[in-house]
Amino acid sequence: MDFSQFSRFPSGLMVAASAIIGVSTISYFILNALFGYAFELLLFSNVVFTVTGLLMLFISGLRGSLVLDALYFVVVLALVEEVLLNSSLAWYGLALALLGFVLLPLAGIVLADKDDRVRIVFEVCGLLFATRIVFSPFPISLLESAVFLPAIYTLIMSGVIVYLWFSRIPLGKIGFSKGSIRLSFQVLAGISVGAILGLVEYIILRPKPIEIGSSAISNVLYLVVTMMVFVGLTEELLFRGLLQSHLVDLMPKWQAVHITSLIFGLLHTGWLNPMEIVFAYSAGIVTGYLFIKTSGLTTPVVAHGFGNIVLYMITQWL
Amino acid sequence: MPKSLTTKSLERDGVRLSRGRILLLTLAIYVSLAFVLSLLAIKPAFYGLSTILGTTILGTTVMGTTILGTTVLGSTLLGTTSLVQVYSEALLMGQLALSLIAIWMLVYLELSDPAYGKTRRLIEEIRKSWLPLSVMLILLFVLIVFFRISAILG
Repeated sequence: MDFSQFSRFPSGLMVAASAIIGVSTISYFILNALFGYAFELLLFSNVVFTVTGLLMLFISGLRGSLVLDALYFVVVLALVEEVLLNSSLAWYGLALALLGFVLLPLAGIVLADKDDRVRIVFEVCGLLFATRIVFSPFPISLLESAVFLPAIYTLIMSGVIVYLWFSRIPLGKIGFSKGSIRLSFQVLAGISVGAILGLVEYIILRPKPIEIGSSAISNVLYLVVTMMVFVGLTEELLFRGLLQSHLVDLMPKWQAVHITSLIFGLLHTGWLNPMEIVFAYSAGIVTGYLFIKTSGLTTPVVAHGFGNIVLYMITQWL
Repeated sequence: MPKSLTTKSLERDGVRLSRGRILLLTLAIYVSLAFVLSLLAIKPAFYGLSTILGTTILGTTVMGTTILGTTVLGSTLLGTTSLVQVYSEALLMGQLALSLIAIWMLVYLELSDPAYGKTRRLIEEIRKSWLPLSVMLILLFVLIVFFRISAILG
């Protein structure tokens, strides 16, 4: 393998993504044949996914400092926390998320050595784990409610806003910009990519239709607003806007996109479908690439939101 | 170089919005939309969206229903336990832990207040880093108390 190509963007990213998607897919079919749809399938698939992802970083040279090693630890922490959270040991997963939320910013302070970029990366990693604890206050009966999703994303966004308020991170840095190309092209690109992503995700998940409103119009309205604003904007702001944009300051672009997508993929374990994790990783690679190329959040948000809309629209009308 | 929303301001149609106002406006939009959507939603059975735990644990995910039935996914490791029971206990423990951490952070913020005198740099940095976390935790703590009182009254 020509390792000099490995450090470039986007060729390095394509090599790493191909490796992780290929290995994870093959292992999924093998594990599926061995265990069937059981917890072991989810557990081992996630481990293969994470190890392959970290191995790609390791052989490409992302090692040698405590900060980088700590980032490996964050990915492993996300793996363990997610697997536990989606098992009958859910409390341990929740406890790990709480620990990550509180202790990762501390790790950032210790490792940063007056380097604000490192401190911010670990604080943002802590914020990612906060998304796992925000449902804690709600009574279990409310978690079934359709109101829950907007409420939970509003809470997450509140956390992000509070963090941005105190941290004084420039909004341009996290993608609140008009972007480097015309806005209409950004939206068009987002819709095109989103349509493909939604179609692929539908093939993987085949979810049930959403029926929350009194009419088809209210269903569609709920779907569009929820997916575009609550899910699309919040998740893209957290992952691409906050995490990826600060990781880029510490390592080559493709490695930053790769790590962000690894964590993004792992945080989709709740679907209990190992192929969804691989899909989310791939979608993260695509939106991460778009974020860098367009220098703004518009295209990633539209792609993410529209992808989810397509996913549920197909379900609704097929 | 894109014309970005810089640290200080956003220029749009001749109107300059401060950074703080942009953040507050975003939050206001979220709260308003959440309220509007709560009026639209009349049926509860919504499930499986993206990454949030609550939507997948109580709803029925692809694997969880069609293949594993209603058992907990981890049942192969720990025997059969009800899905709702597992997460009810996790939520209770989570609320307790979250409340304790929120109270601890409040105490830490108070004790490390520079008004009490000069403190070490590390303590100051931790205070600065934990400040937004504390605000979030207190917000969650208030919600826990609210739902507890609602449950008692209701």
